[in-house]
Amino acid sequence: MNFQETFKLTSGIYLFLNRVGEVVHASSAFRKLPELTGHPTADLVPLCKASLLEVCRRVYGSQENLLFEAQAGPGAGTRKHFQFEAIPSREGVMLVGLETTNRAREIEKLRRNERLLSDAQKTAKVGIWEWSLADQRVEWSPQLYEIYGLTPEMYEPSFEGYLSLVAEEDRDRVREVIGRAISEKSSFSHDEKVLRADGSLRHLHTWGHPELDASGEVTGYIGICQDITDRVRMEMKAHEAFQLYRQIFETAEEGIWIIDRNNVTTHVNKKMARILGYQPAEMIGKTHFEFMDRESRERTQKNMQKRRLGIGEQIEMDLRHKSGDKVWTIIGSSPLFDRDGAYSGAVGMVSDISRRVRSEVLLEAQKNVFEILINGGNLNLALNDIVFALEKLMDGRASILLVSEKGDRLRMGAAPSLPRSFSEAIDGMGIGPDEGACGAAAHSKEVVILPDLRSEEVRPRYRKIAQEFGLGACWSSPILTLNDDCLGTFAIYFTEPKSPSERDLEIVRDATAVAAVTIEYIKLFRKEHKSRKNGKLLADARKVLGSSIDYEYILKKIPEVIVSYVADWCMLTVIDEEGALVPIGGAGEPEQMKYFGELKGYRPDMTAPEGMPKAVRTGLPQLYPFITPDQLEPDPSTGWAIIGTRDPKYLELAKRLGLTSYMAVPILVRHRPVGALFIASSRSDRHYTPEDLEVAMELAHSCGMAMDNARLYKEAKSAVKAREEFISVASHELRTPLTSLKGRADLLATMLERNAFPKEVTQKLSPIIKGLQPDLENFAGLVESLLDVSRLGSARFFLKRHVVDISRVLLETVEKLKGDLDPQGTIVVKKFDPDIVASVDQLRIKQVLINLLTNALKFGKGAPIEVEIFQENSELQLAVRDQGIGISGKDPRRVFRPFERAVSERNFGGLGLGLYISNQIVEGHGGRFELESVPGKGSTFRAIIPL
Amino acid sequence: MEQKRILIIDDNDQIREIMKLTLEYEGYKILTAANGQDGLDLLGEPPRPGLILLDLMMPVMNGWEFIAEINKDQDLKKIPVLVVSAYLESEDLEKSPVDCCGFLEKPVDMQLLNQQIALHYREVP
Repeated sequence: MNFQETFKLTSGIYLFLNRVGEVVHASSAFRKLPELTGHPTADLVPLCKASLLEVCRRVYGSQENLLFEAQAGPGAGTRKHFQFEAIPSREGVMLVGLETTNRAREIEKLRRNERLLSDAQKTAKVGIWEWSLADQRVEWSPQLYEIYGLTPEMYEPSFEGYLSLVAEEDRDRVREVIGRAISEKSSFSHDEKVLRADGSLRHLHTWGHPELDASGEVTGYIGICQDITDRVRMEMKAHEAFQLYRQIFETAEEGIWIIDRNNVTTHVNKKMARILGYQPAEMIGKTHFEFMDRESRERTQKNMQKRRLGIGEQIEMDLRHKSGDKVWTIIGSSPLFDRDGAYSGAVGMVSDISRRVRSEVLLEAQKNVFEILINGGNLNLALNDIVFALEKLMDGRASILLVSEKGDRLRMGAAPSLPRSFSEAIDGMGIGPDEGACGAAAHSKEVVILPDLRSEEVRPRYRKIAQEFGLGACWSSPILTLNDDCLGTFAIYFTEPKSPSERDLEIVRDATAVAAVTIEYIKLFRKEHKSRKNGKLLADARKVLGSSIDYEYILKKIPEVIVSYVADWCMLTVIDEEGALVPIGGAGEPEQMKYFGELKGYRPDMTAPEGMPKAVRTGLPQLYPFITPDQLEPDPSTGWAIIGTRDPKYLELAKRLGLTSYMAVPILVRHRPVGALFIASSRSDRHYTPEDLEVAMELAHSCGMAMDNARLYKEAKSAVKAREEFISVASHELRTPLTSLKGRADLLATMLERNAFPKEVTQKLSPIIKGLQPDLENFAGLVESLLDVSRLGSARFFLKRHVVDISRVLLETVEKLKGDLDPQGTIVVKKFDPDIVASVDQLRIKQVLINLLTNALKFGKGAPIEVEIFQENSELQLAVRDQGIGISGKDPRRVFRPFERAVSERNFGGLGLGLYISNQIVEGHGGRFELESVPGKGSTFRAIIPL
Repeated sequence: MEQKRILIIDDNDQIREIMKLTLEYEGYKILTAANGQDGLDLLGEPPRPGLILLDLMMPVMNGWEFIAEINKDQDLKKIPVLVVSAYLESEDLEKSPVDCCGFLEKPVDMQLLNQQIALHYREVP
């Protein structure tokens, strides 16, 4: 059963209203209440039930208790008397009515219905208390105990006991409120925080209603206590949220403007006020129409209709600045509604777009510029669009001058509206404080205003030009990059003397900014184009240089690659043994090539202060962006010309080749110069820049690497050849003493066999001679391995193939080896196909098997070694599986490389050639080796040879 | 019966000696020369050997030159020559084949040597 339903059943007249005056609970007795008359206040007679509600709302508004009486019924005899008290609190109002016609009976009824009330209490977290002043007895309903987290066993209610439960900071206030109510015989209500038995803090709201005896004295209080913790918490959150909104409101980048239903401004943030040039207080209380001109006002009238219908929208609107200027804005406007859903006003988020509107004109121009550029148009033509845009915004004629490549002069960029002769007159203007407005602006990097070109302050030369073209004023603004480098100037001319307003300056600044971005973009665009070209150059160069390790080829290719991208001609020099730079290659246009022959004898003086000698000496590249013809003559004071020579023959040659700009770049190998590049331009429109120099350095680096690689390769190749020769000679030389040694041992063995010596000598010699034989065999085997390697290296390794029964050959080999080397019989033939016939070099295949088996015996730890000889898919498979130490490490197949071994040579001897040779033999037969190996478990070598 | 005669031409004293000892032990009469020229000089004096064991790489006159020389003489060219060399796979041999009855590679297996000698030995009148 819920609270409301319970209340309906109680006989007491109760009414609860919430904070907005809505009836939350009404007891059935209240519903049955007849029409009343009475005098709660003068203007509320007669009292109808609706009027009671109205009374309660008033009471809530005033937050003062109101006690009043009312009567019902037609005649005096049947007339019923009621007493009402409206008890306000922040939570709402409780109206308590008592029929005083027969009060005692009514009270009794009330008591009877306590049980029902208690259910209601529980549902609403409401407890009821009763306090008798005479004996200070306090009674709590069970629900109140629950609210406090107590039980009747734990706690006997009392007023002081109650106060002790109230949080300390609230206690004095609560005592005062109740004390005053008692002395005034009035009701009370208050919020309080109490500590529950479990230590948690609860927020409660308590109403108290005095009980009066017949004489009108207070005998006690009856009251309700409601747990409002949840709501308080929500309120606190709401408060925090409100603070947050407040902060957003004040710090918003946009103006915020709130009007009420009558269009009267209730709130504006500082930003909003600033947009219109006011203080916030100046705007509050005025309708928003007061900040608009007629046209905007009419539009707004219509728009407000939409707000009332609940429609928000984004609109562009021009407002009036305090100064009277028009302010372009974008307003995002939303309607506001109160709790009842009634329209209560609107909020507008206002952005000032005045500058943006102006910028749009400029940006439109910029867009056009980029389009022109992307389509391959020229810079000056593109800049015309920006000039036109500025002229559109201001009543003047504009020009753009650009800083020359050398940085010392201003060259005509664009002046489409000015006479050509004027352009010519100012083209090439110097940069400095005493030059014209533009020269001075480019120099100082500040806006220079010449409000009157006729004044004496203007230098005569420019005064004369101004006069000639009928110009009265010139304002010039430097076009600066983000790094504050001056790219040029943007100037506007007026026919009459004129000083700029703040707005004019702003427009000039904006236009200049657009020009700066545009020119920088153009430069980037060109640079990007160039760097892409350079990237391709470097990639190509690396490709060419990496394509060969032929030293001579690379030296020939380097200048060609450079000329094909960045140079008109190029010379490559290398440092010879004596430290002199020797020209060894050159490239250029066909007509230039004929001069290179004469350069052959050129030996730059290494002490020269410029050019390649300096680059080689310092290890640093040298950039000469501008070469004038007189710099190709020896300097009268030093005797040196700019290219680092004083020999008239070569200076003459340089003139014939043409030289307007060059780079001398050292070629470094491991930080030591090995040569230098002379990269030259002979065109008037190609002047090398630091970026070119960077590319040249990269290029020189690639050249150095390629030269070094080629040299290393050459050296490595001869080293390899030397090693092969050494092995070849050494192994042959070993054969001769081996032949002699073997011959002697054989002879001794033969003599022993034939009893050439006395018996006792034979007995003593026999074991010695027998021991000599395997050593010699072993030695001979090693020499053979070396010889095999030298044969493999010199491509003299060929197979002598014959058709044989390879099964039989291999089986015999196994048997022979078992007899010689495997007395314990660890070698087992596990799988054998007879009669495999193949065209192979049988000696070599035998060698493979012997290698595998001797390895297996060596590394097999004495465990059985399995041999498989079989045919599968027309391939001969020869497998040897041991259970030995296996091959550790990442790359087991390394054992197939020469002089490699699976284990340290300290443990196992040998040259590490057996598997290398075996693999070569198998591959020589078009076959392959498969290898499975688990360290500690063993290895399986499988030679697979196609039949 | 007269001993069978074999001429050993090798510039290496050790090899010459052990081959001589070995073959003498087998009952042959051995003549030795340290180069082709010495060998050629020895052939001037009868009785001539029934077999020549010839090394190839030698100073003064090498094996190829020696063979070229004896081939000029109708009688001498009939003497069988066994080449005994460590250089059987050398490019020199590939380029300039040797006109001989057989090859033996160093280190020589003496058993094989005896077999070969027995096979090719032929006394020329």
